[in-house]
Formats: sequence, structure tokens, C-alpha cells
Amino acid sequence: MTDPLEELARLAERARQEHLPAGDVSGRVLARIREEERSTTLPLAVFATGSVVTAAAVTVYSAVLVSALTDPLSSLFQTASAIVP
Amino acid sequence: MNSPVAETDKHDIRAALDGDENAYARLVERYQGDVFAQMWRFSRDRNTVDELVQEVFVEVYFSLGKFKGRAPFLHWVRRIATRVGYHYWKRKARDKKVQEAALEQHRDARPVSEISTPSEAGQYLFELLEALPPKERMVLTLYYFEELSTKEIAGRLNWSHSLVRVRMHRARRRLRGLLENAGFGRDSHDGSS
Repeated sequence: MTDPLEELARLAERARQEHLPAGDVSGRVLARIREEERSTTLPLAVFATGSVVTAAAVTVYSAVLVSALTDPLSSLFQTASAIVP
Repeated sequence: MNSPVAETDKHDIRAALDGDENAYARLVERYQGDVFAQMWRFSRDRNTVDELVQEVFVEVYFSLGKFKGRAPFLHWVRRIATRVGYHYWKRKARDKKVQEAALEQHRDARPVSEISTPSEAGQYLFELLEALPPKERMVLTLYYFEELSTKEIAGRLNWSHSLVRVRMHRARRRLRGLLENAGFGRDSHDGSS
């Protein structure tokens, strides 16, 4: 009785001589790459636009806040304008 | 010091990174034969192999910036191909019925003495290894189909050498049981060698 693994090794040697199939996938690969690049670019553009809009809103709000904090008379004028039409 | 990367590959890789589609197509055409042969060990279905080969080259493209040129380009492509193939097996193995079917098929396998052509031998060996868990199957596929040493297997899979040796030992022990069930080793005078 021979070692089963030795017999398997002989089978593997025969298997390695198998003529293997081939093909040409270059066209399909390029198409898939273009598709994936398109699908990642659009969400990024949306995200970037959203970020710009948010940043602009925060900037304007911050400017108003800073102005109110740094101008000590601003609250007085606000109160005066509420009393005196 | 000579670079291990061929000049044509270097030229096409640089051009592909600069957005030259034709350069990348040349790289694909140059190495798709090797990758087809490699992915044929992960599936015997032609359509599946086609898909896997495409997946390999798409992944190669998006990883191209990480290629350091310390080894020939094909070695790096083969590592990615092995990873793609291994993940394919892991996805399939989640369906336990697939593995049970492979074991069942193996129990009814014809005697090895009836295997004559290289194609039959390839199919038989593939079905035998299909009955193993993916990690063990991976190690033995590289060992038997690509004749890699345990050290080379470790390098290809990015596993430690000791881990590969442990998995190889377990895989061969499990395989021995499967082989004995299939009648290997019983008739040593069958003239199959």
C-alpha cells in the first residue's frame, strides 16, 4: 500500500500539465475602471458642495457673533432701537 | 543595481498612473494569461474565472500607486490575484451547503486509477481540495498547483511562515482522510503512475 499523499503528488504533477484557458479582458477591465471612477467622483462632488455651503453659513454666523461680542455698544443700540422707534 | 521590474513594465506603469488607458491595457494584455491560469485554480467555471480575472486587474489598477518595484510586477499581481481568489472562496464557504456538496461529491468520486488526462487530474484535484476549509485549501492549492514552498506561500499570502506550516500540517492530515476514503494508496499496482 502506497502513501496516499505520494499518490496525490503524482496526480498533482499530471494536473500541472493541464492546458489552461485564456481570454482577453482588457476592454472590460478598462470599462469597469471608468465605471468605478465615475461612481466615486459624484458622491465626492456632492459632499464637497455641501461642505462649502455649510462652511459659508458658519462663516456668516460667526462674523455676526464676533461683531456682537466685540462691539460693546451694539447691545445698547439694539435695546435703544427697541425703545425709540 | 538592476531593478527587478522590466523596463516595459516600468514605462507602462508610469504612463498608467498618469492616466494613459492604453498603457494599462498593455499591462493587462501582457499578464492576463498568467492570471487566467492562476484563477483557474480558484474556479473551474469559465465565466467565474473571467469575472475573477477582471476583478484582479481592477484591483491592480487602483493599487498601482502602492507598487514599490522591489520585485517583478507579475509577483505583485499574483499576490493580489491570490487575495481575490481567496476572498471568493470565503464568500462561497459562507454557504455551508456548497462545502457539504463538495464532500458528498468526493465520496462518490471515481478511483484515481481511472484518471488519465491532465485535465481530468486538474478537475479531480480541484474537487478534492474543494472539500477543505478555505485556509487549508489555499495552502494546498499553492503547494500542489504552483509548487510553492511553505516560505513562498507565506510570502504570497502575507502569513507568517509558522502559521503556514501549521495549516499545511492540518490540511495534509485532513486530506489524508479524504484520500483514504477515495481509495488512494490501496491499489499501488494499477499502473496509474
